[in-house]
Amino acid sequence: MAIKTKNIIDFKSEAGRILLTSMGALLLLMVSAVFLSSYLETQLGSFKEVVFLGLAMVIALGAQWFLLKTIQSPQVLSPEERVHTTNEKLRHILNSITRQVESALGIKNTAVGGIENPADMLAATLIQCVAIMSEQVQSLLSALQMGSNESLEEARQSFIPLIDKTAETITQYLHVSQNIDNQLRERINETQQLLLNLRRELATVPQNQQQDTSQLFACIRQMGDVLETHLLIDNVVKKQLEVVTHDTNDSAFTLITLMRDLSDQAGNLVRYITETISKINAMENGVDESVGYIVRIGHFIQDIPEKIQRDIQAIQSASGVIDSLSYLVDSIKEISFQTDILAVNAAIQAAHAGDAGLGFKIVADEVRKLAVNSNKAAEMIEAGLDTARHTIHEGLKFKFLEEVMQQMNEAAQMMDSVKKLQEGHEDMRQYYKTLFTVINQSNMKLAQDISEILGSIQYQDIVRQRIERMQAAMQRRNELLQEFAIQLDVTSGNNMDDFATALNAVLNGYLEEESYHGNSLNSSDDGDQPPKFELF
Amino acid sequence: MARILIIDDEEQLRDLLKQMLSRDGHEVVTAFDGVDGMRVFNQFNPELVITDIIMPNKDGIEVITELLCRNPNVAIIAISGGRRAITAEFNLESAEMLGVKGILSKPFTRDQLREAVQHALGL
Repeated sequence: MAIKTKNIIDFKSEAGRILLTSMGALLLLMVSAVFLSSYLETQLGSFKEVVFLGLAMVIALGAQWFLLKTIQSPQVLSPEERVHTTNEKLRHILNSITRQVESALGIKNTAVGGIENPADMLAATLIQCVAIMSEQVQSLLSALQMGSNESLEEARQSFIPLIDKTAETITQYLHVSQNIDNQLRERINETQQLLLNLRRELATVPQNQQQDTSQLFACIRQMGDVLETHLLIDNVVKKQLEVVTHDTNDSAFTLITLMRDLSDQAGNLVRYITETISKINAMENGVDESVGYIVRIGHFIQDIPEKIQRDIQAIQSASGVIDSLSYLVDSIKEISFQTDILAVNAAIQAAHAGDAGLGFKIVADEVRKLAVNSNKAAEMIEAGLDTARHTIHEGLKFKFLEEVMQQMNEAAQMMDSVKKLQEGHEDMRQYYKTLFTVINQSNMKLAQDISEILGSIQYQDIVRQRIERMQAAMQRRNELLQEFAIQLDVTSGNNMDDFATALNAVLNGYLEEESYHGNSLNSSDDGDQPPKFELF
Repeated sequence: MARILIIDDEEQLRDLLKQMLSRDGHEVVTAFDGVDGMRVFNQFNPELVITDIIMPNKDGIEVITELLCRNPNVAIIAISGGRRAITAEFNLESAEMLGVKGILSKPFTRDQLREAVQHALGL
């Protein structure tokens, strides 16, 4: 603004000079015209008028000479006035530079504050988000190891919105970085313009006067050095900020990609495990059915000896009853035999008795028939008992065979069940083997992705460290510039020898520190180089 | 055309696949189980492996895991018809989770095979 004002003043001054010169020339022309007219009249008029006209011409020439003298001032000033004028001009330049520096510091208060606050805050938010996501991933893995499908899905569901939040935060972060970059670019342009104006101002001071104000000129050159170093620092910061922004952009993109992959993979894993568990349940039900069948067969087989024992006891009891009945048959046979003998004896005795024994003989015959019939009945009973005994023995044999057959059938069914059980076991083994292989491989992939995410998180911390180092360098630079501005106001350029050196020291210190941390600015030209990581 | 290794314990299907792929101009070798498959893989260094899942000695899941551990970019197509309670769907989904380039459920057509092979080889 000051330079612009100065340029306007110069323009007005030059225009005034041209105007005055033109007016003087016009006046001279008019006087000459009047003089010529009067001269012609003197050939006919009085001598007194000629004198007046000559006087008027002298006055006009004098006025013109005065005007010319007034507008061509510096060359005709006295040495004291020249020094004074030059000093005033240089003071004007100094004031202009001071205002520029103060203006630059004004920019600093917003631009560097922009670096310090929103970017740092966003970097912290970013790191916090990533840390939360890292915890979520850990809980995801824990849920996976616990085998609880519900907890796994819960962990995954809480994981998804965090990805969007992180993406949004990174976008804001990059936006702020871009703003800072733009502000720096603008400030660099302003500073370049300031230097250009300074050089123009210096060029307007004549060489022969520069020796008279050597101290001020030295001061101005130092100020030029200071501003150039200031410009250099801004350029370095801008370049470093570009590196940081580029790296953050890459890192953020990688981070978001990894997070989304991780979420997708976890989702696939959840779905896979959910489906697999339902299939395993169906398979286990089949195995349980086979096992239940085998258990029932086992109980049946376990009961068989007891049942057989009971049957044998019952048969033995029936057989005992039959045997006891056999004794009775023998008794009947004995009675029948004795009755027969008795009847024979009675018949003999009846024959001896003659006619008197005829009736008795009839009785004896009937008794004998009874004996024979009794014997026949006993034999029939014996035959029936034999048949019953035979039937019991045969029945026992049949029952045994039936039991054996049933056992055979049960054994055959049991073999079939055992075979099914074995197949079920093989299927289950194969199923679990496949399942564990898939889960194990997925876990390894998840762990690998988490490792890469942690690497990106670590890189975000390096970005934060870079910004902090940048902030420290800018802070030192700003302190020096503030001191510089105060010096300009107070001493008009005295005792400023060390400012450029001090600013250079700030710049060199910053570059050295960056180099120490492996973030050489030269490496930023090589965009393909991988980021260098350091532990934090 | 590509070098292709087919691993399957069913001889008829193995031969049929070999015939189909050879007709398309591929150089095809076969193996009868996972162990044999890994041996042939080391010798033949194929560009594509087509492997069954349920096999004796070393199953397809083990083969896929081992091959992908060696080289995550190796092209593999998993084929399966399932067995008893283990469905083809489960086997193929498991293979997909491990990172194979293609899956085919038995039985499949020649066109399906050709399409899967071209996709796996990036043709």
